[in-house]
Parts: sequence; structure tokens; C-alpha cells
Amino acid sequence: MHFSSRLLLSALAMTALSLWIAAPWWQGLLVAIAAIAMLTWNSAQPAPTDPSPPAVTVEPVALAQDDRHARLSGLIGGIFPVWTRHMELVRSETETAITNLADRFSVMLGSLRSAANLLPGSSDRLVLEHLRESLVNLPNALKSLDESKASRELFLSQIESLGTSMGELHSLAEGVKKLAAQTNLLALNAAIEAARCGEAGRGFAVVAGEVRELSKLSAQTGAEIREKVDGIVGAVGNAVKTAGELSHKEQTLLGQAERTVSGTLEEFERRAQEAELRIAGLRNSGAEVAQAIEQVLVDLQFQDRVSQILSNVETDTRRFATAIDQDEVPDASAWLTRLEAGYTTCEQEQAHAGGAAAVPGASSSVTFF
Amino acid sequence: MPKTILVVDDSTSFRQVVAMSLQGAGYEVVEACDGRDALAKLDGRKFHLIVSDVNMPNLDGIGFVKAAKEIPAYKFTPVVMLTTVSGDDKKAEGKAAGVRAWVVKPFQPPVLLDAVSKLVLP
Repeated sequence: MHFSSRLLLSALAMTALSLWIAAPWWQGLLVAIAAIAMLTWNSAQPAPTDPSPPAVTVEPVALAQDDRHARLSGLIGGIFPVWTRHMELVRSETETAITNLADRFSVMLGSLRSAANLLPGSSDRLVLEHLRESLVNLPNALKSLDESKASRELFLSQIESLGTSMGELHSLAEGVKKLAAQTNLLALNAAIEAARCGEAGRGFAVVAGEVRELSKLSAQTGAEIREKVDGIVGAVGNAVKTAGELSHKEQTLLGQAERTVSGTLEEFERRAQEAELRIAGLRNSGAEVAQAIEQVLVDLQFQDRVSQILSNVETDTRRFATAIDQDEVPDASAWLTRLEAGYTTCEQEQAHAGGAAAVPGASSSVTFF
Repeated sequence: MPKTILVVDDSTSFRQVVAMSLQGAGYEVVEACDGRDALAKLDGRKFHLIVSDVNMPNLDGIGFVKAAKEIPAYKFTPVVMLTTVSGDDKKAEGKAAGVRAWVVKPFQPPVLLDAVSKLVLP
């Protein structure tokens, strides 16, 4: 095979490989078919008469201007710019598609982060915390009401004991009444004895009369005291009866309140637990989706590497077309060295060396200077 | 007030990926499409860190870092190179230019964020 054809086929093979990994399969296939056609066409041509291998020459040499070469130059001049444009098209389409994809994922990720912020986080679980506090505080409030009821019952028992004291006062008033009656009887006897003594007992009769007056006043005061005490005892009795009825009603209401509060709190607790489970589920789902999208964004970075590989091939194809156009056959070794110098990725180096180029994983370390 | 990071890369999609990672961590991001655009974006504005690619049209990453370090306001601004280039010679060139860290593409966002958090100016 002629040397220029081998160089051309190398470029075609590289182009086919690049397109195969970065573009729709049919573009790579088209280039591969072109390469096979070129190979077939070259095989059909007579072998060069010069037996010395022109493969490695230090200086570019001019080719003979025969018809075959003219046709080949015309073919290369026509096809290479088209291939180059196609490579640029592939690069551009890939770039646009990946940019759009990244843009959409960016919007999705932003929405997910916003949604995650709306969910109660570690710093703003206020509603649930308030509910939990209510579960503790409301029974405490009922307990306070219960304690207050106990205090009122103690107060009522003290009022009842006051009623007993009033009863004792009533007895004392009765005692005063009896004492006044006996004093009156005693004063009457003294007046009788004073009258029997005649003139000598006149002074004593006056004293007896005054004592009788005092006993009447004592009887009257005793009656008034008894009347007042009876009034107070009646009022206290009514107060105790009313307080007892109120206490009974309060006990009933308190029981109802306890049952209502307890039921409500249980419902709160159940709903709070359900809400927490749902929120935790949403948070986990959001985190998983966000993580998946972040991983997709890592995978999308292939576009940058593919773009650099294609760009390198594109530049080299242009350079090759220019060389052919200028009727030059550059030195293969020097050409490849220059091509290699433009590599930016390790997989380009691996592919250049002829080994299987491994697709790189995302870097997990940083070199600090 | 969020800290501001200048992201320099000629790939629009890649700039989006980097911006998304940094914005998710609470940083404000300004994007530039190559070294020349990045120098124009500096414009006296305060940047707490710069993340830059190496291979870019018009002015490459190393050239941009050298030019930025010539400007007094950015002499001490930390620079993280984020690039497909992994050769030691290029890393040495970056170090000599004043680069503080080197991350090879493709990258895991937590790896970049870890480097950024260690170097970002207060």
C-alpha cells in the first residue's frame, strides 16, 4: 500500500473510533465504510515500483504529479473538510445536548434542594416539638386542676368544721338563757325575803329588783345570740351544700376533660408519628434522587473529555489535509510525536500506545501544593 | 454573605456541573468561558477562590493564573485547577504559577468541595 494511503487510513481509523464513541453509531459506521473503500481502492492499484520503503523520512518530500495522485489529492481535498465539519458537528451537537441535560438536571436538583428545605429539618421541627410538649404539658395542667380540686375540698371541710363551732355557740346561748332564768328566780326569792324583813329589808329589795332587771337583759341577749348563730349556721350549711354540688359537677367536668384531652393527645401522637414517617420517607427519597442526579452530573462530564479527544483528532485531520494539499508526505514518527504532544487525557495516551483505553472513573483525591 | 468563586472552563455543561456543586454548598458562582474572559471578570471584584480548567482557547488556565497573580488584589486568591490533564509536568507548571490544588476530571462533587473548603479565603 502506498505510504500516503496508509497515513490516510490511520486518520480514517482514528476518526471512525472517535465518532463511534461520541456520535450516533451511523456516523462512525460511515467513516469506517469509507476507510474500507479506501483500502479496497488502494489494493486494486499497482504496487509502487520503488522497492525502498518510504515510510520514515526526515524531511517532507514532494510526490510525483501523476493522475492517480491528482485524483487522490482531489478526493482528500474534498472529503477531509467534510469529515472535519462532521466532527465539529458531532462535537457541537454533543455539547448542546449535554448542556441542555445538565441545565435540566440543575433545575431538578435545585427543586429537590428547595423541597428538602421545606421539610422540617434538624433546626425547625417546631410543630412536632410543640405537639410533643403538649403531650407532656396538658396532662400536667389536668393534674394541676386535680390538685386545685383537692384544695377546695379541704376548704369545704374547714367550713363544715366551722358549722360545728356554730353549733357549740348555739349551746352556749342556750346556757345564757337558762342562767338568766335562774338569776331571775333567785332575785324574786330575794325580794320576797326583803319584804318579810320590813323596813330593814327595803335596801335589799332595791338590789333584788336590779338583779331581776339584769337577768331579763341577759335572757334577751342570749335569745339574740341564739337567733344570730342560727342564721349563721343556716348560711354556712347552705354554702357547704352548694359547694358540695359544685364540687360534684366539677368532678364530672374534670373527668370529661381528662378523657377528651387524653383522646386528643393520643390522636396527636398517632398523627405526629405518621407525619414523621412520611417526612422521613420524603427526605430519604429526595436525598436518593439528589444523589442520583449528582452522579448523573459526574457521568455527564464525559462530554468534556470526548470534546477534547475529538478536538485533537479534528486538529490533526486539518493538519493532515493541509500537508496533503501542499503535496507533502510528513515523517510518520515526527507526526505522531506532535499528535501525542496535544493529548490531554490519559486514555488518549493509552489509545495512542495501542492498548485498550480505560474509561476513567471520577477522581477521588486532590493534589495539594 | 455567601463567598464568591470564579469558575473558568470552556465547556458550558462542565461549568454548569461545577456551578451546581458549589451553589449547593452555599457558594456564589461567577462563570468565565476562558482565561481571557476570566481576567475580564476579575475586574477588581472580590473572589474567595478560583476554579479553572487548563486547556482553553484564547488564554489557557496556566496563563490565566500567571496573569491573575500579577494583579495585587488576586495575588493570594487560592486557585484550584480542575482539568483532564494529569501529567506531573503540567502539575509542576501549575504549582510554579501559584496553583494550590489540582483535581482531575471527571470529579466527584464532594472531592472538589473538600478542596474548596480547605482553601477558600475567609
